[in-house]
Amino acid sequence: MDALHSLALGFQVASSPLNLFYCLIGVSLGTLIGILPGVGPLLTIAMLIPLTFGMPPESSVIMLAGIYYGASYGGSTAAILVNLPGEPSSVVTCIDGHQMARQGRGGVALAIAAIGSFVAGSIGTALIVLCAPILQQWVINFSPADYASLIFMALIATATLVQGSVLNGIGMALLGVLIGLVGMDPMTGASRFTFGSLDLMEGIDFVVVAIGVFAVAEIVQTLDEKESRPGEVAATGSIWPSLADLKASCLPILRGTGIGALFGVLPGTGPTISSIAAYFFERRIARDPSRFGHGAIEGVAAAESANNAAAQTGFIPTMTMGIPGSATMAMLLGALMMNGVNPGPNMIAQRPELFWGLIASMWIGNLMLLILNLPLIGMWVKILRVPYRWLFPAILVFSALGLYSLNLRAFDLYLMLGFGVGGYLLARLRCEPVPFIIGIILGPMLEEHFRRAMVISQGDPSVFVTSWLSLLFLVLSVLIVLLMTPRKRLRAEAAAA
Amino acid sequence: MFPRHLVLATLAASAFLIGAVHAADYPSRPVQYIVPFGAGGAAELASRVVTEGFTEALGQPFVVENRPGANGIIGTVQGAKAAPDGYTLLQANGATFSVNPLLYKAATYDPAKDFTPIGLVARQPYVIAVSAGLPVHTLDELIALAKEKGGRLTYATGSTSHQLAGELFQKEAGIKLTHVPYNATNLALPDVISGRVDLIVTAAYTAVPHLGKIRPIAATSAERAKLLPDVPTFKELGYPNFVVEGWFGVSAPAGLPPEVVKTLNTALNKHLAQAKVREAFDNAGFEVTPSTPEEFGSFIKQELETGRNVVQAAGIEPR
Amino acid sequence: MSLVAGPLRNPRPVIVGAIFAASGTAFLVTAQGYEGGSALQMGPGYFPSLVAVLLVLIGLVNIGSAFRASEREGLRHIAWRPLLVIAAAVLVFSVLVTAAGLIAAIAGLVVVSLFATGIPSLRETLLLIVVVEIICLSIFHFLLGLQVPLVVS
Repeated sequence: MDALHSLALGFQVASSPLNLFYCLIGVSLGTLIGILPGVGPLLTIAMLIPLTFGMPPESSVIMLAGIYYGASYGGSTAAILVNLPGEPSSVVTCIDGHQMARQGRGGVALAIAAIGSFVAGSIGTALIVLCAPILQQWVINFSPADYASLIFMALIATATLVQGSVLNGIGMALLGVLIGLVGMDPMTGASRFTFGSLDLMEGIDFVVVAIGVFAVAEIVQTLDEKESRPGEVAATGSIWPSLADLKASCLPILRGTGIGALFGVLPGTGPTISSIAAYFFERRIARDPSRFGHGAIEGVAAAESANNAAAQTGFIPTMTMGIPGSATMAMLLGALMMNGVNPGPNMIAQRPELFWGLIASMWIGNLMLLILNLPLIGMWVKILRVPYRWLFPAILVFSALGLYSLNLRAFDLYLMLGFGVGGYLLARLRCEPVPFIIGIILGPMLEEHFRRAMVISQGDPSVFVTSWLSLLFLVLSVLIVLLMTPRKRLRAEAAAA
Repeated sequence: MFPRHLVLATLAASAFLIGAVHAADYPSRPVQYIVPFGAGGAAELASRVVTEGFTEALGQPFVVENRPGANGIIGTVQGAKAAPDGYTLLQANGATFSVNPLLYKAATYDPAKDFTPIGLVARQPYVIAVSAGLPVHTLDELIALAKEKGGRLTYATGSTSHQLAGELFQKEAGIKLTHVPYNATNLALPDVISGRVDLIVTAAYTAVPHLGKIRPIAATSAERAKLLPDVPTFKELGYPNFVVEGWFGVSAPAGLPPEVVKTLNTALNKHLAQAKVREAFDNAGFEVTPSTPEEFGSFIKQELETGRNVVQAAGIEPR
Repeated sequence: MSLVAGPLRNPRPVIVGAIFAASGTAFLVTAQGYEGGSALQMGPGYFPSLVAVLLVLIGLVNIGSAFRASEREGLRHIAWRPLLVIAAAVLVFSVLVTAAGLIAAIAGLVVVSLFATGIPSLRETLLLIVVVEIICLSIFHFLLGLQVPLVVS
């Protein structure tokens, strides 16, 4: 009853005309920058913060939060349409989403992504209201050993469950991990694999690799296939999901939401892990896993609802514990502090209108995003009808410009090109880019938590099996490998070829 | 058609004007303000408050440019190499000016020689805090426990400046602790709150929301932190040499004309004197400490000296 | 493709395995220059060495698997033309963006990349340049205020 009362207060705050206006600005801006490669919510929020100083704190945090979750909507659009994941959490959306677009089902994929995100956002909001204290405890109890095992499991799942041979998958993941370690060692500050280059010292940015191995390699591949198979992206059927599509997506959306909400609260690791875990969970339990990677709607539904649920529950540690889960969250937290609000365990009691106003605004914002994005789908699909020979130079310009805007240096473009060419050649050798890029993202996290767990346990590796969560993840990892028996694998591969 | 000599004369006159205008009418175009860290974090936000002040007072936009990477080394190197014309300013802070040159070979700049100090903005007191479950309430009890455990007590830090304070603590108290580094303080908090890690060195304001879960034992600043007035300083507790603080200020490449330094310092200090600015900094855990350019210069030298002593005593080699 | 003629029915795992083993070795050798440390306090070289060894092993197993392969499988062809043209287009962009400014860089990228599939007509090239310039400049320059000069003099 108490929660309902608070939520009513929240809706009262969030639905004031002024706050509705700021919420709309936030989510629209978020959608736009989410679509653009390179320009992320972090940069946008940083640029806008000085403008928010004169605003009431509720309005400013409602707008800034809108940019944050709006960007994840926009991110899925770019992933589906042009195979360009703008953020780590949309990598797995590319796998099936872009295939759907290639088959002329781009509208369906976008619609399912939007619907899934909305459902996940609504459930996520409800979970914050009902379960914030339980999820807080879960964050506190999650030890470095648990993190290490969870990340290990996600890596194993990625490496073994994608198409192609398991050996290639594992190899690509390991290669990704090593590339991910380039730069300054976060634990000791030593430079690794930089060969004295200051540009490499800060590590290789995810976006550089993503644009290279996804967007550029995809363009080359598509141009090539045009030679042998003329004709554009298949233009068939409705842009709206059929009843069968909705039915197929229903459970994946709910499962994705659950996984996303649970892992999304974990600081640092959460947002990325949740979409990966949700996607591979669907793939694992699917009756016919071979459809995945060839435009399975369940994959898009699960991944997109997971990352949106994670974006919502990610506010729990930030707002109620003062522990921001990502750099963007840290930025939001900083904006609040400069406005005299100190997020932390006391915030809900001290500033209920701000906390509940934000929660309610997130639900309203998700509704706005749905209303905003569904009509846009028609426009996006029309863009796909543009002949590819005119479309790809534009995609390339967008990618190059977005990437260049990150650090304003040509080095990033050369690096992107290197990854693009290498990624394309490896893809021709049946080495998928997905495990590689997930290796790059998760590798440094795995090392960090593994080393930290070992330091805290004073060098005793048994810590990985004495914590039941860590043990659970490790057992699951072993099961994932064992269940992919070579026989099954070969058959699947033969079928795919 | 234009008479050629007229064109030449106009060009010469305008060239002369540009040169003359330079010092008197500074700034005449937008100024970039390099922050050597990525967007996010209190220090970066605080620098946006500073640029707002410059923009208001001097009538040209002062634009924050985030140049993150390598613990701030990349942006700071860029700041050192820029032209000393007043159109590139750099955020100087404890990590980039008094820790990095001692820890990293890649930090090729000399904080005392390669920059023109403009003014200190604010300091940030640090505290050493223990997980609430650890049975110690005073510094003496903590030191006794550390000695008893013989190096098995763990301490978490989220930045190299905090680590420096941790090293100084071990040196001054004659104890040995196991260091657990994190990328950011907030990521260390769950491990300290849950008791998996015993201690944390962090900014006072980070500790405040978690009082009850973590217990500050002593502050490393010269004076008690305003946010934690009940926590004694190491100085009070008998460690006169133990003063480590976070700080940040405004600097520029070496060789900035003195008039420009004066213009900037005046604008900065006027801005910092405003109540609403002080309040914004207080909220973010910074204590505003305006200075003259000269004071800031000697402050930087002194900070570097302290750091060097600690790093040498701890036997840390630059990497 | 001459590899196919030998006793090897399937050259792909050999090539892939060689790439893995070689990159693993390169990382392993480089990592030897970093402090390894112990399991308690791992140095910067510990984890990369571990991963690099695994990668070399995977590479060797991959090579070995080629000799057990039952199916004959050719290599997939490589689309050199689009690959090289697109690489050139991005290079042109990165050179022009600092040397001549944003407008020229965008135009350069569009012109070069159009050669990926054939010889473009002058009309379509000009039309595409205008459209892409308008869209990109309005978003990146006017809306987001990207700090790159439109024209470098």
